Amino acid sequence: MMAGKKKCSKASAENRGGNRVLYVITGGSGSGKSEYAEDLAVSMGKLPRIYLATMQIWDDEGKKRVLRHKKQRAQKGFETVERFTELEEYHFQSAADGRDRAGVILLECMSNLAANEFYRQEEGAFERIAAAIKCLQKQCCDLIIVTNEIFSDGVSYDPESERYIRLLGRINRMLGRNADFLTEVVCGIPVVIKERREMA
Amino acid sequence: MIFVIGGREQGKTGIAVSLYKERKDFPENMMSCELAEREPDVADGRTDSPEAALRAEIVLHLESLIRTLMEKGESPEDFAGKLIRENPNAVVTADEIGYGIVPADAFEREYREREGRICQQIAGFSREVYRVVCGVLVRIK
Repeated sequence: MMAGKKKCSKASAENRGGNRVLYVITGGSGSGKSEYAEDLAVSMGKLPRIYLATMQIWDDEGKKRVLRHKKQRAQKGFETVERFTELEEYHFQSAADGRDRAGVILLECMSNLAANEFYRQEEGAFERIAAAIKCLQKQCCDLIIVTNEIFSDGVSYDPESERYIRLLGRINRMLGRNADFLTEVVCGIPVVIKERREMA
Repeated sequence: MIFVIGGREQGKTGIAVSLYKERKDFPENMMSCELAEREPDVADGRTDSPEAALRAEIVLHLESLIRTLMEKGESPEDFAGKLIRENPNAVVTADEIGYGIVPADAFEREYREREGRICQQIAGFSREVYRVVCGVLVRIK
């Protein structure tokens, strides 16, 4: 089942005052949210289909993870773009055909982007990321953002990590407010948290 | 009782205040307009005492109250029973804390275990239970 799947037709875009559709996918690590988000992007059938990877690779564990994810989407028709910071200044251009508007952009994932911006320059990180989301929305029909649930382990961390957790929490609340569809993936099962009511 | 659970930084506090103001089962002798007009009496488990929580209209951070009581060697289960008996109309929030690695430290393990069981008790008693994800409310009971 593809909960939250929706066609981005011209008519529906007009109904929403020209706004694009924002899908937010959350879940714990290993919940299956990445696979779910990729399948969702494929099911929309819109091209170009952009995979916006935000994870910086530092070690073998990271390399392995990237390799696994690349294999998973190898056959799914994604153009991969790697961009770790300053997404608010990102201008999409398809490497395949030069188009400057994407059918769907899948951002994977917000917890990495937030960490990159936080450790690059903590001040203004939230505002830059909010601007980045707006910037991406203008350049595609459907935007899918994968984020992460890191808020329920009951652990008190060092002050810097605590501030990072607060930043991601604030970003997630902003995503939840603005999302047309918010889905939490649990054991590979999509649980709909919020679903935009269709207009008659 | 209304119970709101979810991870930290999810927006539970704001939601608890809204739920308190919008509630239908307001205490006897109190009109709904009266609730909407004034700020509710809030006890925050991180800074306020368990006694304050027994009187407050909104109790935040139940998990902190449980931890504080455990650190003092007192029974958080007795406190939860009292909260239910003496403050049955409260809106209560608690952080979910059981989704991490089981801690090596015995106290931390026991804290998660007892907090989880007390949350079950509070949820069992509550008429409405909500879970908050990315600031969005989902009614689960």
